[in-house]
Amino acid sequence: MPDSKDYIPAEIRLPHGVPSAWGRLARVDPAGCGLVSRFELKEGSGAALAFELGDETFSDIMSRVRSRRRDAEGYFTYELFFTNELQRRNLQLTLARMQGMPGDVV
Amino acid sequence: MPTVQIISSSEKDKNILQGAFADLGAETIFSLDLNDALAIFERVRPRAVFIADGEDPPSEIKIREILRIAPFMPVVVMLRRRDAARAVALMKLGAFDCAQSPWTPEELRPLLKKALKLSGTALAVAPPPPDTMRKIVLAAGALAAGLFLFALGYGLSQHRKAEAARIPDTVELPYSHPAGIAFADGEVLVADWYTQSLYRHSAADYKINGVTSFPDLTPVGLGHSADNLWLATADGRVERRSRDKRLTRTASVKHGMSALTGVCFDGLYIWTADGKKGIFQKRMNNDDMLVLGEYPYRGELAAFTCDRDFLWAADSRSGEIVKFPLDNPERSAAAMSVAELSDKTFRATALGTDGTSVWLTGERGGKGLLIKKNARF
Repeated sequence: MPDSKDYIPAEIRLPHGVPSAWGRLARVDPAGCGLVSRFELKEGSGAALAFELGDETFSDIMSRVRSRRRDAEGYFTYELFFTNELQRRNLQLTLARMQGMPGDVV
Repeated sequence: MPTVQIISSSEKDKNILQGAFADLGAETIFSLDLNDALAIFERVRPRAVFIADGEDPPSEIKIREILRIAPFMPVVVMLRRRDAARAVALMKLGAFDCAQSPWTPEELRPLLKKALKLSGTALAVAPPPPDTMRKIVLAAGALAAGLFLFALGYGLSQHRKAEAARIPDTVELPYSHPAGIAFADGEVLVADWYTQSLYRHSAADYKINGVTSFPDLTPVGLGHSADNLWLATADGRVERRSRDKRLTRTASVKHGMSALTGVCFDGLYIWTADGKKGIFQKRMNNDDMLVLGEYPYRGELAAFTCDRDFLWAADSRSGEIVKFPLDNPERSAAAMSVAELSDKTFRATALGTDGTSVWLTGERGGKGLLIKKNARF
């Protein structure tokens, strides 16, 4: 269970006018991310994430909850996958650049 | 029962929060404002700090000041309404998480539990006791297995204990810019210029016992005696401070050196060194710290200290720690090669002695290091 406060903070925009929630990204890759939050999301539900990676800001990253589990403290750990191909590509480029690799080699 | 510190000036909020945290089994210490919180912080040593948002000064400043004196403290901001953008902004500043209103036990429980877990891995010498039935079964099995493995296990555990008890000679510090080192009452004191703080480490395991913040100065050197600390500052002063809880300033003098490399007390005189000019200065131990004599140093002085017997210099050109008799500071008595000083990726920043060891601090790859060497050479 990730407990570090060094994980990237993320805003979680929810559908149907539900007020936005927040959490931290435990992991990010071009296909999806691990998200830790106190707020409950249903499996299969959608969310738009906003977060910063390095010096780049990503907003409205469309994602869907693949799985979730609740830890002993009451926090949820979610596995989300990103649903927008163009956004996945942009993330891929940024992640590759952060790791010092050319953008097309991931 | 864990103690949490709550910063809130509202009597109404205080009543609500006192009840909520009592329900969660936590003891609460309330502070009306930031100054009050910082004043009692070191005495109380809370496991987490909860800040009621929307009061003066803003939560952003409270987070910064608390983390300045306790970098690993979980800080939770209790928002007046659910505002994800603000929560994320505060988390970027160092808040562990944010609670939303209303501040009920149900809302606060996961935050408190997670914040307490953040403060360290729970260590136990034995696992928690199992239930009665399992205990009987386990006891029978454990007896047979335990007898068989006892001899082997005992030997192994003794070996591991000995390994665990060995204190490493090089430690990575949880801050990156150590600038001075001194010793007091079984503690290693390290000044960090970037966080403008003095960290008190246990000499036994280097854990941080306490932090004193200097928001009005940047420390660049540190020396000690039984009663005082001498703190060199980035604006060209040497301050004498009593070793009381508040480290009260009792003298402050412009040292007039272009690149102060160390300050120390030999039991009678204060010594300072200038790495750029390559000189040691002997000074009176009074409020003016009057210079009594200057002695040339012909190497590349990276760090400097002294004790009752010697002046000590870390030389980045020769890669050595060199010691000089107090009564003849121009003639070296002995030198010891130190691999780190020859390592171009390491930058020595301070030297200190505790009588038996000589300690070097420095920076390498963005990390602060504390290195201990035997002083008997």
